[in-house]
Amino acid sequence: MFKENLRVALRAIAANKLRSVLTMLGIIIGVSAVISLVALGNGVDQFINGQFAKQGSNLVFIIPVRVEQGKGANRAGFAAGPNSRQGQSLSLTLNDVEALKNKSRVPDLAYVAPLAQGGARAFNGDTKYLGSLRATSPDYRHFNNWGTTYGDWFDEAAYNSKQRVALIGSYAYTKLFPDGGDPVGLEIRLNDIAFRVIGVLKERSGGTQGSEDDSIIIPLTTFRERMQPLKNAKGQTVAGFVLAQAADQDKVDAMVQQVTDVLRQEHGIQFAGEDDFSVGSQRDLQNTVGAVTGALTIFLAAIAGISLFVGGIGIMNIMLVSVTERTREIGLRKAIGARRSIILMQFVAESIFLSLLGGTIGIALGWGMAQLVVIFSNGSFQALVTPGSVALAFSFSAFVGLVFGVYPAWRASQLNPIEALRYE
Amino acid sequence: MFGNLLKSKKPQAIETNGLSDDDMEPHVNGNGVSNGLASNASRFTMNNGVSELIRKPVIETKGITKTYKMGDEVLNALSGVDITIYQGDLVAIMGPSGSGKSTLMNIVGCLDKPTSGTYKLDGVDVEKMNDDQLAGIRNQKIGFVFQSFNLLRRTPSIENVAQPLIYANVGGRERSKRSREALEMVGLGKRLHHHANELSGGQQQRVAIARALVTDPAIILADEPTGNLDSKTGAEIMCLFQTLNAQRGMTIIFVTHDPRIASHCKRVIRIADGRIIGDDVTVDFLDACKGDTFRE
Ligand SMILES: Nc1ncnc2c1ncn2[C@@H]1O[C@H](COP(=O)(O)OP(=O)(O)OP(=O)(O)O)[C@@H](O)[C@H]1O
Ligand SMILES: [Mg+2]
Repeated sequence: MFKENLRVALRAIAANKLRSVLTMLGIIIGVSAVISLVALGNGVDQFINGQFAKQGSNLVFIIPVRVEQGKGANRAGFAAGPNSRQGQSLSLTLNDVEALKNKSRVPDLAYVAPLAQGGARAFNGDTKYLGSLRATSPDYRHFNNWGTTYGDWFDEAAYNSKQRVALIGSYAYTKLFPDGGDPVGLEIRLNDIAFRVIGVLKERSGGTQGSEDDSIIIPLTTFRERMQPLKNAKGQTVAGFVLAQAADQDKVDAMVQQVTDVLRQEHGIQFAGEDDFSVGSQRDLQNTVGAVTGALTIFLAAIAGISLFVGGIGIMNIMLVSVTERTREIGLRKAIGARRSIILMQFVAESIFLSLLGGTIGIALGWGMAQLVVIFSNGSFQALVTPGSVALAFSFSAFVGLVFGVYPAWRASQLNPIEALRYE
Repeated sequence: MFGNLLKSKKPQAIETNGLSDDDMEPHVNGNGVSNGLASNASRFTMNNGVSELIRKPVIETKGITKTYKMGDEVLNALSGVDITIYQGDLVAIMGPSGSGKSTLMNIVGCLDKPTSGTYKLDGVDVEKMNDDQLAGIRNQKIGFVFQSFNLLRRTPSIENVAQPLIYANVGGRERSKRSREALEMVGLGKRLHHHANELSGGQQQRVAIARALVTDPAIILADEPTGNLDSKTGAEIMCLFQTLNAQRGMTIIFVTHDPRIASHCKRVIRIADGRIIGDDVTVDFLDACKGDTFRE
């Protein structure tokens, strides 16, 4: 009986090809949109998680936070000096970084480094390059295990003596030294100040613009001395923000607590006072990203639901037309012995088949669109058409066919055979 | 042409070529036209003069009416029809257009229900049955040949014929075997895979007949079954029906305007304005299988 239903359904669909395709369009569009967007979403998710994984998930960011005057305790973090930018929090200093290095106070910390970022206008002779500037300490190399292809990182001595030395990211290197070769010892100008190249960094994140590879790295001490001098009210050099890495994945929470305690002590914040910094772990960030992508997924699901609903109404509409058109056929089938349930099943099968066909075409189309995006992005991220999303799209379109096919099929099954046979 | 039919031996096949005298008696009917001699008990079929068999009524209607309400007007399509049709009858129902023939056939065929009156099919009260039970009856016991064929277009004739078997849950292989046999019976053995809309009117009619025969029903109801056939094919179809009637004891009821069909039937019921006005037994009905009986 199932085979018969399928055969009748196929014949009915084939008899009205254009109409069938138009009917399926709603389902096709809905399903293909879901498949391609979910695939791209998965790709982005994977990309971001990949980035996190590269950096290690035991990483913690310490960010200065602005606290309103009068609230909390001693607001040493706010500079009143001529160099302070309006509203910028200067609460984290190099003294804090030194304090955090103290093993007895922060036992679970492995590495800590300050980081300030800005724009780099770099010249190698007349060759110009615009990239990002990162000012940090020699410990920064440990965070990413960031090795060099030429030369080496600046050491503590160079850092402490505020030398004008620079490490060049792999992308920046190709732009500044298009002819290649070992640039160590050569002079470049960064924002109109002469620096000596001491190393070229290994490629880390795809070697493209906008990635870490487009940056030029210099000692933070030099940066604060010559490019962006920032001191807080106590005269301490401002760090910008601080990166810390826990000795172990499991120690992250303990380290966050230790870091918070030490910084509160250093900043003289009273028991009830508000922190003038914020410690965020990689995990928090990952959760935030996860929440964003989760919201996106819900949004997508809503769009999918709406388009499938509209598609379902289209199917119901066409099934009602089909039942009317085939009234005589239904009358005949009943006259020669088809029970109500058989007529019902026949039309439900037809509706399910129609929307499944639409779903299948939509899956193929969505997969194709996702692949196109991958091709146009030069493979910088993947589109993941998961079996789960295919199964979901498939079963959802079957469900739509069922729900919206039942009413027309029920109408068909209730027809009086004599009246149906008389129908013109 | 119908050699295939002669091969199929059915247990219920009975020899009816030599009619007994009883068959000359008119059938009972309820609107006073009967000549008074009729009674159920008097109906016997003599067999070698030894055993006697009471003929079994398959269709019994009592006081059937069918009323259509069209706005304020009430139209009585049937007003009190009593007929009894026995197993093995070969009946022609005749009457002017609009006299209620098709309406009666639809009720007899369990497609429609009467407004009032009772109808027993094979001794079972049909009014008490629900839709699905009626569908089962139509499928198992009745073969319809509709006035307007009602074939599925764009569907091969063999599949058209197989439809009732699908609803009877007959398996695929058995289904196509029986459908082919039925089409061969009506002389369409070479048109198995033609779509219904690719066949001539007469061929379509024969597909419709094959579809009615395929379930081997006890009763065949045919509304104008030879209307679209030339005299030669008409005679062949009539011969087929007569053979089925004689050999398998199939009860066959024709609705027709055509006196030639009536002359091939054992019994002719006349209907006018929704009432039975005549019910006669034809003793010397023609045998369509012998010679050119369909010429006008
Ligand atoms: N569904 C209906 N609604 C209203 N009136 C109907 C309906 N069906 C039949 N009739 C009427 O009942 C009467 C009998 O119709 P029926 O179809 O039984 O005639 P018939 O004897 O088969 O005629 P024909 O020889 O032309 O086929 C007609 O007057 C017809 O108009
Ligand atoms: Mg009629």
